[in-house]
Amino acid sequence: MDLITAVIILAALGLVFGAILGFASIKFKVEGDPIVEQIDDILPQTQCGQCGYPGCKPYAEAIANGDEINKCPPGGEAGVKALAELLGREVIPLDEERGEEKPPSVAYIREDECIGCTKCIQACPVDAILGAPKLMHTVIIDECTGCDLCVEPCPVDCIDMIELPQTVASWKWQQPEQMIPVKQVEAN
Amino acid sequence: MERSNFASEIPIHEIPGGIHPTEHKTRSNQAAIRTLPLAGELIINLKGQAGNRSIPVVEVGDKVLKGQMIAECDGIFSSYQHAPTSGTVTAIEDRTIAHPSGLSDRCIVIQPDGEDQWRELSPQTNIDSLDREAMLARIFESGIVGLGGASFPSHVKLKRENGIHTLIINAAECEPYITCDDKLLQEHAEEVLKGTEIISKLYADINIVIGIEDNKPAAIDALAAARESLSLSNIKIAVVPTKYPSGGEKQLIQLLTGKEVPHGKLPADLGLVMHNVGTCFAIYEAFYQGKPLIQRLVTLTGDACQKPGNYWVPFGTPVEHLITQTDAQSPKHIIMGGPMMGFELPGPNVGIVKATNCIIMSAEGELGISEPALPCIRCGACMDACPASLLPQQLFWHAQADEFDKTEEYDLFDCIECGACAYVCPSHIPLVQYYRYAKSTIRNNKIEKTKAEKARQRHEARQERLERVKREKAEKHRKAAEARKKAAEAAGKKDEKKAAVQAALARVQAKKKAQQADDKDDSASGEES
Repeated sequence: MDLITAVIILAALGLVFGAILGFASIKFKVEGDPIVEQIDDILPQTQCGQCGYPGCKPYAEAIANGDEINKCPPGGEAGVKALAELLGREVIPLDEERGEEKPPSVAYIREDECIGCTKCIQACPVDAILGAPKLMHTVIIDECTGCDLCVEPCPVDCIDMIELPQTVASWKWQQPEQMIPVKQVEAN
Repeated sequence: MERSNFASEIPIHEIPGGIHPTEHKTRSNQAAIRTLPLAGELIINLKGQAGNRSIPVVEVGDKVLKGQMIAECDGIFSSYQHAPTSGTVTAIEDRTIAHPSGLSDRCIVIQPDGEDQWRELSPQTNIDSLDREAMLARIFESGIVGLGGASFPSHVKLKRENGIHTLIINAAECEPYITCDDKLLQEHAEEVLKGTEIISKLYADINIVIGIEDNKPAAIDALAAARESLSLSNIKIAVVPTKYPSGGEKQLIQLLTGKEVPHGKLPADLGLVMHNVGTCFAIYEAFYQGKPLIQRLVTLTGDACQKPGNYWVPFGTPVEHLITQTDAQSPKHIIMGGPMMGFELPGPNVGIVKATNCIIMSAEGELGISEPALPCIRCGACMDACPASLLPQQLFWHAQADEFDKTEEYDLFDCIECGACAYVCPSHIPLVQYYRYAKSTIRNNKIEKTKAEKARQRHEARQERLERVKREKAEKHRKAAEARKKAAEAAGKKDEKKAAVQAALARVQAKKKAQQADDKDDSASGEES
């Protein structure tokens, strides 16, 4: 008798919890892959394609599927560190083949040399270049991510990448020098 | 140092932590306030306040009068700038500014003509005739910002009327070396109180408390005497024991009211508004004399300074000029602000800004800047000294390891950077620099993040647009193809009709011909008949 009661109770509990879980899985269904979103949040959104993928989102998807986390030079060491922390992976040095970490810069069009071919406009991943066929083009500095992609297609080589100067607003305090004293001891 | 025995008129509460550094105040508060000859050029920093850089309204070559507006504000937290003397604008260019970075920023350079000629002044002594808006407008147009150190525009602080019940005038001046507020009260207590009265008229019903440390007996006596002669008995004088940093806004509020300003809230949320005595004096001048804010009282001191004291210094005066005028002997460090919260200037050719309350010209070894840092021994002395009840050693630990989210968890942004922790640290760790590093990195990261977010949105919008264009093109092609097909079919049908018509025509023609032939036959036969 006891045995039957126990079985019935457990079965009933199983049914109830199963129903709750089933309901929750429908009600709280998460669209898309949240880990991809989190990875994409860490990536610098330069959309430069140096990682070999056509943009930051595709690379985020690739990382979620097991690709290395060190293929993003604009994100730099700090980016690799943040990704490693998020994904519980090892911090590895940046993949040198992909390029090196550069100071923030923006594209600049030497406007009197521009022939108005619109090739750079088509290359810009964030629509930061303004212009029309046979009219001079210009870069909206505030929107430029410094991805370099417009430089190569320019047939007259009139685009320069200019390092952003440091301003009072962008300046930050430096970390004081680390003070772990290193002493070299002679081996005898 | 001498302590005042003036009994505080309101009960004083306690603040946690705090330190008692050597005051070094007597050297600069003995002599009367003086003025110096004008410098050869004035370098007016357009970013000399909180908020955005002001926008110049003069051009190179323009002659300006003393007090003439030379730059207008850009956004609400910015402020107007006025010419500190009459002369010619010789340049509007980037010059090294008074900022710890040592970077350059846009400045207006004025060469004084020596006349020191005022523009036409329009004083307003009948304060009662003005409404709130007009009073705020005058404060705004006079370019007045908080002279306590943060340079926050005063009219913004005064705008909020709702729920404000207490006005606190900050005369605590707790940082060592600095004596400009002390000296201002000793010599201009009446003007300061008149300025205070103007501020109090912005509110329907308000309590007024002046908070001052007991190490300024002369200033306290001057205040009491001025209050007597102006019969402003509603103003209470609260004398607080000397302890650094009791002059911090949140600390003084806690001392006078016993309330702590909660995390992320403003004093106004507690019904309090605080202004510095220097600001009150500036407001007095703006109303009673019609003068905009063009100069301030600056304490010039330090072991290298031969004529220490308080001086009226026009904004933009290069520090170099102050050094030569006070016969300073090759100072080792030039500090703008006090020894606790100030910063070392990148060089002497930097203009005085509205926030400059003190210049310390230190001699070798005076400030103990160069002591080497040793590892943290977790003694907890910093924790006992912190006036904001934070855990400085934890903040340091995480800032050192770049664990910025952890520092935020430990309320890094409640740190007022007073430096009490670094002062007591037996290992001489530059703690405040770590906090500043962490704070500025967090701020920069946030800016980067919003930028990245914008880039992502633009990229996604572009992808979507390209996608849409592609779809539309395909749709167009499909439609065109369909149309062609229809046209072809229609053309096919038309041919049939045409053929039918032609056939009909042919038939008609054939009929006609036949008929004609018949007619001919008929006529022929008729002729014949």
